[in-house]
Amino acid sequence: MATLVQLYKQDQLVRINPMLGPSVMEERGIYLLPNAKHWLENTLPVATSNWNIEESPAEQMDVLIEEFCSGKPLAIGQRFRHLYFRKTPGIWELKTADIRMFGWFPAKDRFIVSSCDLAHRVKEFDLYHGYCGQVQRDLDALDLDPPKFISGENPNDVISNWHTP
Amino acid sequence: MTSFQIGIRPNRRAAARYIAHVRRTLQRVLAEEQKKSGITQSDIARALDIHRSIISKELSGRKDISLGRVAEYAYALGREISFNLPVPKAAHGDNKPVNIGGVKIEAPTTSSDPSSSVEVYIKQAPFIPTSANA
Repeated sequence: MATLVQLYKQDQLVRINPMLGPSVMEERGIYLLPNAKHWLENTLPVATSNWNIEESPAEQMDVLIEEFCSGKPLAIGQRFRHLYFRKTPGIWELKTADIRMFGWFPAKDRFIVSSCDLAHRVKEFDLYHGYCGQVQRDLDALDLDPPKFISGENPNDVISNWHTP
Repeated sequence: MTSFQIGIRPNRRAAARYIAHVRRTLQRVLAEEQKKSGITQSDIARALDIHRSIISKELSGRKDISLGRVAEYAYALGREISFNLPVPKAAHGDNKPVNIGGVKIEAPTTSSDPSSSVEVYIKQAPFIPTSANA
């Protein structure tokens, strides 16, 4: 069993570098499991927006990461939300107009990403259930010290500085 | 220990982060005015003669937002806009500029929002009725 930091040092988790400005503190952290990293490396760079907006999915992802990691107020429903899956509490998504990141919070303001996909694919092919199942499997498989995740759907338990838009 | 960063050009990073900064500012000001006066997105939609869904999409990032629209939102919210382009000042210990392909890229240091060397403030201003807006 290991802590989050130990798993990161053992390369079982990859930490996202949010490329914050020189005077900006990193207040929250995002960690990637291999599947998520693979998607960010291979699918995200060539993805296009389904909303026909200026920001590409890659640029939206950069903004989301910057907002999350710098501790900016996050809009519930727009930037993150709890997902109900088989009465299993603790599965969340981080999101933009075109992106969905599925995962869980092992600690407040620390998010582990299990999978990523484009929003239109998730909706068109009804993939929420499948991705939630994957989060559950990844959570069970990760050799993290208990408690492995923050249970429940209360945003105050998982994210500091959030608001209702 | 491996870190991963999203690979986008620094100019596009600056653009996307700035657009998000403007959206967040508009959302924050709307929330403040809602608390103060009860103004809603529907009220703003009526003032701008657009459908409420357009406001929802623009503020949530599902529709592009133009400079003109930003000014219209400020007007509808009874606020002014201040626009500035300060020269970044390097502080001790800051990351040094990076040369990429012969183009010198400098990280902006003056703004708390590192995405831009453009600081936009939406200030509170009293509504002064004139013959044009009375």
